[in-house]
Amino acid sequence: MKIKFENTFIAFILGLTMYGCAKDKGNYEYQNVPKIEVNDQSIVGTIFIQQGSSLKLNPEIQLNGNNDDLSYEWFVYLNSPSASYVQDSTKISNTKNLDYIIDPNIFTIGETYKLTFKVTNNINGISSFHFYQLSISDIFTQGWMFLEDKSGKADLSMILNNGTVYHDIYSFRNSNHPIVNPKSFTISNASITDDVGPSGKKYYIVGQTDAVELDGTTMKKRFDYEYLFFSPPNIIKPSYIAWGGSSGSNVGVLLNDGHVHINMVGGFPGAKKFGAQLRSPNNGYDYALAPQHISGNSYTDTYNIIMFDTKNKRFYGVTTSALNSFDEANQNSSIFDMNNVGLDLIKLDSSNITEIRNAIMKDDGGKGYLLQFRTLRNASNPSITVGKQEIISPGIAQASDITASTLSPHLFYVNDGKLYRYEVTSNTYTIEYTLPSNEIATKIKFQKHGYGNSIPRLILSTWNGSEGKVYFFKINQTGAIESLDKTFSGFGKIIDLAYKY
Amino acid sequence: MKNWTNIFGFLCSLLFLIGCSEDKPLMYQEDSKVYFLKNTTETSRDSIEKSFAFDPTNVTSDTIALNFRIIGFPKDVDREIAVKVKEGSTAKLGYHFKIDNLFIPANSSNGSAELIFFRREGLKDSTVRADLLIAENENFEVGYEDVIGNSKINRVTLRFSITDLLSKPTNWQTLWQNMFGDYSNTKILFLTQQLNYTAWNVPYLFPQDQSNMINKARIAIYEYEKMNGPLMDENGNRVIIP
Repeated sequence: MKIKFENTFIAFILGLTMYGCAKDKGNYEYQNVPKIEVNDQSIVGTIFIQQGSSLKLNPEIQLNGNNDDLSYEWFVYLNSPSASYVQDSTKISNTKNLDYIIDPNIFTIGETYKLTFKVTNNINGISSFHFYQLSISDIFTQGWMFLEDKSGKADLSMILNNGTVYHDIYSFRNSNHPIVNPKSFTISNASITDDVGPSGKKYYIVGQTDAVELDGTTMKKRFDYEYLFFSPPNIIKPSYIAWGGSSGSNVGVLLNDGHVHINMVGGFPGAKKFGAQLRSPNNGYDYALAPQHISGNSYTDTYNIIMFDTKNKRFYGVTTSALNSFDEANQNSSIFDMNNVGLDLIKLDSSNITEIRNAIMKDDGGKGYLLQFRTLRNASNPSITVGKQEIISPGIAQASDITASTLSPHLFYVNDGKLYRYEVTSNTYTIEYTLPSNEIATKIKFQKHGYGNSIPRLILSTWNGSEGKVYFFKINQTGAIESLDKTFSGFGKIIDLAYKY
Repeated sequence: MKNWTNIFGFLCSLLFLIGCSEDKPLMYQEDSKVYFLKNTTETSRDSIEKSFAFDPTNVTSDTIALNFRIIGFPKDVDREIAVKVKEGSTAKLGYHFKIDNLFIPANSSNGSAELIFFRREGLKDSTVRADLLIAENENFEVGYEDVIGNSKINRVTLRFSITDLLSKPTNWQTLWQNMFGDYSNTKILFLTQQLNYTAWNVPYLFPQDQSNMINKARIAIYEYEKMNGPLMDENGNRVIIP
């Protein structure tokens, strides 16, 4: 009896032990709760908005069978690359639709923010989210900017794409830093990371004895001229600061006293600034570059940047450590010799062929020439020199500025109050427009996509002795002027222009 | 038989009881070790070459940070590190050099001692060298060596040399030759003075610093020659920056 009981006991214990190994089948049930969806089809991409202006957003909410018992929250985070990962969000509203005035105490100009719309189902506590990207801009969003000479002092004006015009931009915002005798104004065409200032496009105003780097959003001075150098040169005489090289953004070019100083950026660490002036290959430091440059198309190009020496009347290939001569094997000097051009430069520009660059030049006798060259030498194009022709078009050698069409083989310039269009291929010209008799042209620029996709705009600035004027011409697909689109007045004497986007 | 079943039953219940005891967490107690923090991105140098030749004459000593790191947990007291000088070293501790602050601070995994070099008379015509070895003491065992691929990186010894004799930096061929051309004592003294630069033993330079130094050197020699004519080196050759 006792043995039988003990056997049963052992069997029971063993049974219990083995039961522990049985798989737990579970008895859970999962219920799908239909999620509320939030959407906003009306907003695509970043919302650019100014301080003090009103932001209205009406996101759509799909209940998907949920009750209409919801609560709403709108909050923002600073979303710039340098923002802290542990910052608090700021709640700006708790209504369904947002109607909010951008508060300057919360939103800083030039910064980007992530705006979150949170919808919570009060019954089950489940929240849904929708995100917007905000960029707080100043009034200067996109359009043409003009450097003006106003009684010897530099100022900026801007024509926005919607036609709004702003004047006195530099003088109003930088009244404590006037720049005399303005020379050039450039905007880099891509973002530059130099580990000195914030990453972004570079804006420079250059005057005869001073220059500044501007903040592209606020148009306030960011850096003094001397701060742009590792060690500033002894003579301060700037004439041009711009960015070029492959994709227009890896080599900074600064002209001081005719000598070029280079800034090279890339993926490597450390601060990048302008270094000491470069030496020329044959004339030591006895050279003076024209305040223009032309870039290649890609970093694999034989010549990334080409500049012209007005003293020795020749071109140089510019690298980060030297001005270089053009290898004889790379050019056909019977067309022309890049190392000994013997002409004066009027304008270095691109052309309607991506690989070819135009140099419009003149001789001492008042004749104009078009010299064309490539920046890439390879097996199919063993010579970088492409062609040289005398330009048979009235007064081109006296033109204050010339621009090359990037749509068709044409050059535009003004002489004696007439706007000429010179055709490179046929060596002929047409008169496209006649200016009022008291106006002289100061600058001219061709903008390929000025009116949207491949509808070009020609921008011409004039001066009548007391007021500057800007003309916008529409160009048709054959490359001729279709119509005068708009004129804008109230400018100082326009010295330079650049497109901000 | 009955006995046997009783024992079996007892063992079974014992097994169940063991299951109820608390599980003690396993903590790995690692021995404290210390090593030289070198060959890292912060302190990339493998050895130190100190030349007083580039310094002004009133400079009599130079202090270099000697960085250490430990293996094991930090402790709440300062812990001294033992370092000995390898036999046969020509640099004499206490005369040519000394080491201060040789400890790992409390609650830290890193320590930074000061290796101080003295500019002694004899260094004008000779170079002294020493190997510092990490030694075991009551606080630390000797650190470790890193194996990266096929190479072994030594982190338990540190070699240095001290001299007041102007000599060609060992990296001239790999770094400076390309920038400044052939070495001469006159050239390096000229560059030291004109570029205000003395760190000739750096392992590398960023591209922007390289081009800035080249361009500064070129204009410096140009300005010099304009005032004084060609600069001749100790071998009678003209100093040229290519």
